[in-house]
Amino acid sequence: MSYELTQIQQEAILELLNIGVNESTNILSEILNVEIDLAIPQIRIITSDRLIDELKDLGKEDYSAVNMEFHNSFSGISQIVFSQDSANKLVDVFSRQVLDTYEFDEIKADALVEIGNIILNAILATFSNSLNHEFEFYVPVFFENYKKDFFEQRLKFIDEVVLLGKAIFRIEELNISGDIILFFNIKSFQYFVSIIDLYINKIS
Amino acid sequence: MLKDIYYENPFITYDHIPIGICIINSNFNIIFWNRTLEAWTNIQREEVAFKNIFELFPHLQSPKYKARLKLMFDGRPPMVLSPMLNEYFIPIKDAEGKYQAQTVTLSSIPTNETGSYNVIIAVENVATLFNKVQQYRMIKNQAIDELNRRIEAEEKSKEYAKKLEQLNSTKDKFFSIIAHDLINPISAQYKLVKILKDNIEQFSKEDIIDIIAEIENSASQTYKLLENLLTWSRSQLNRITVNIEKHNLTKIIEMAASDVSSQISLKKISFEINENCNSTVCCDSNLLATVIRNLLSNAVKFTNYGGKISVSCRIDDDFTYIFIEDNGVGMDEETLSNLFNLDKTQSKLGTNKEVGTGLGLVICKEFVEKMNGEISAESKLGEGSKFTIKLPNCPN
Repeated sequence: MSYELTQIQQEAILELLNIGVNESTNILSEILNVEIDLAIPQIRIITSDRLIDELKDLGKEDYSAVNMEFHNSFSGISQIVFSQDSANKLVDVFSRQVLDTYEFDEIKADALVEIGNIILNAILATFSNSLNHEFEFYVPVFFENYKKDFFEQRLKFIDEVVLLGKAIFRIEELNISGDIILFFNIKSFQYFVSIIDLYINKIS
Repeated sequence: MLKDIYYENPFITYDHIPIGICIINSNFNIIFWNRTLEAWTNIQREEVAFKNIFELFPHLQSPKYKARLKLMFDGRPPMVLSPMLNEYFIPIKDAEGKYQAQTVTLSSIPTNETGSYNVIIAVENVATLFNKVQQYRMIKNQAIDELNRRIEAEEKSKEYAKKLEQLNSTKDKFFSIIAHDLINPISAQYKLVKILKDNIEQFSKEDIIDIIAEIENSASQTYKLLENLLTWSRSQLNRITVNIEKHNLTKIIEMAASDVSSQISLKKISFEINENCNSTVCCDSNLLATVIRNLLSNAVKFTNYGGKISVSCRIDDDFTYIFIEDNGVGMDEETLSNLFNLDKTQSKLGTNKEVGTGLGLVICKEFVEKMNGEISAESKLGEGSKFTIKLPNCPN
C-alpha cells in the first residue's frame, strides 16, 4: 500500500492548509491584537509509527497538543503539537504576560487550547468548505503529555496514515514552531485523497 | 405531562447539567438560557428570551467575541475561549462583585432549515480552579524567586571563596619568590662581593673582571625579577590603568625586542620580525610591550646558542594575532598545561643557566586579559615553543 501523494495532490493539500492558517492568523490578529505570521511550508505523509522520528525531541522532552476530531464519510483527528518551551512562549506572547510564570500550568494550557483551536478550526473549516464536505466536529481536547497520553495509545492503530506539516509562527520577532498533524485510517485517507482529486479537477 | 415538556423543548435537558448553556439563533437572539445560568447570573430565562445577545451584553460586540460568534453560524468547528486570553463572556459575578473566570465553548448545531445553524454557548465556571492556580502560581513563583536568590548568594559566596583562595595563593607565591628567588641571587652577589673584598690581592685582573661580570649578570637578573614582582603586585592591586588605543605593532615589538637584544647577541640567536607585523594593533602599548618582552626573554632563555626566534603576525576582520616562536628546548605536556597557572608555575633554568620565577607568564596572561585578549602556547620537547597573543581589533 503506497501512501505517496502526487506533486499536484501535495500542492493542493498544502494550499488548503495555508488558506486555513491564513484565515486563522487574521482571526488571531483581530481578536488577540497580536501581529502574527503563520505558514506551513511543506507537508509529509508518513505512517503513525514514524511520527516519533519526525517530531524532533519527542523522545527527550514532552510535547503538548490540542486535538480536534472530525467525522463523516471520512474521519480523522487534527492536531497541533508544541514542545513545552514553544507552548510556553506562545501563550506568553498572546497573553502579554511574559515571564509571568516559569512553567506551563492549567491556565496556560487553557490558553493554548484556545490558540490551537483557532488554527485547527480555520483549517478544518477550509477543508469542509473547499471540499464541499460537512463534518461533525468535536470540541478540542488538550493533551499535556502528548507522548504518553496520546501518541503511545495511538501506536496501536497500525493502519493509520499521518499527514504532517510544520507550522512556523513569527510573532513579534519570536520564531515558534509547532506541528500540524492529521491522522486518518487508511480507508479515510484514500477517501480524502479521492476528494482532493475532485477538488483539483474542479479548480483546474 | 413532564415528559411532554422535554419533547416540546429538547433544550430543557441542559437544565440538568452544571454548565451554563445559552443558545442563540442566527439573528443573535437568545432562544435558550438554562437554569445553571439563571443561578449564576440571577437573570431568569424569561428576561432574556428572544432578546439580542449584543444588546443584553454589549461587551460581546468587541471583535474578540463578535467575530467568532459570527463565524459559528457557518457551521464551523467548535471554538474555545479561555480565561487567560479573555475576560468574561456571560457576566457572572462572585460575592465580592468580581467577574468570575470562565471557559466558554461555542458549538454550531444545525437547525431544521438546510445550511442554518444555532450556536450553543457553553460556559464552564472555572473561577475556583483559576483562583487556585493563580495562588499556586504566585506561591510557586515566589518559591522559585527565593530559590534563585539563594543560588545566586551561594554562587557569590563560592566566588568570594575562590577569590580568597587566589589571594592566598598569590601571597604564598609572593613569599616563595622573596624566600628563594630573590634571596638566593642577592646572597650569591653578597658572597662574591665579600670574596672579592677579602681576597682582592690574590685575584688577577681577568679573574676580577669575570667575578664582576658574574655579579653584574646576577644583579641584572635580580633587577628584572624585582621589576616583574613590582609590575605583578601593581596588577594584583589593580593599580595598572589600561588605555586601549590603536598603535603601530612593529614599533611595540621593536621596543620590547631592544630590551632583550643584548641577550640575543650573547647567545648568537638569529632574530627576525616578520613584515606582516607592519600594521596597527588595538592595545595598551605598555602592557603589550611588557608581554612581548617577557615572551622574548623566555624564548631567549630556552633557546640554544645559535638558535632562532621569530615574531610574526596575522590580522583578520576581528582579531590581531602575534606569534612568538623559537626552536629552543620546548616543554613537556605537564609544563605546558600549567604554564599560566600561578599556583603550579615552576621556574626552570635556561639553556645558559638563566634563572627566573615563572612569574613572567602569569603577568603576560593577566595583561593580555586586561586588553580583552587571550594568550596560548604550543610546544614540543626538543623542537621549540610558539606563543600566540590574540587581541580584538578596534571597532571601525
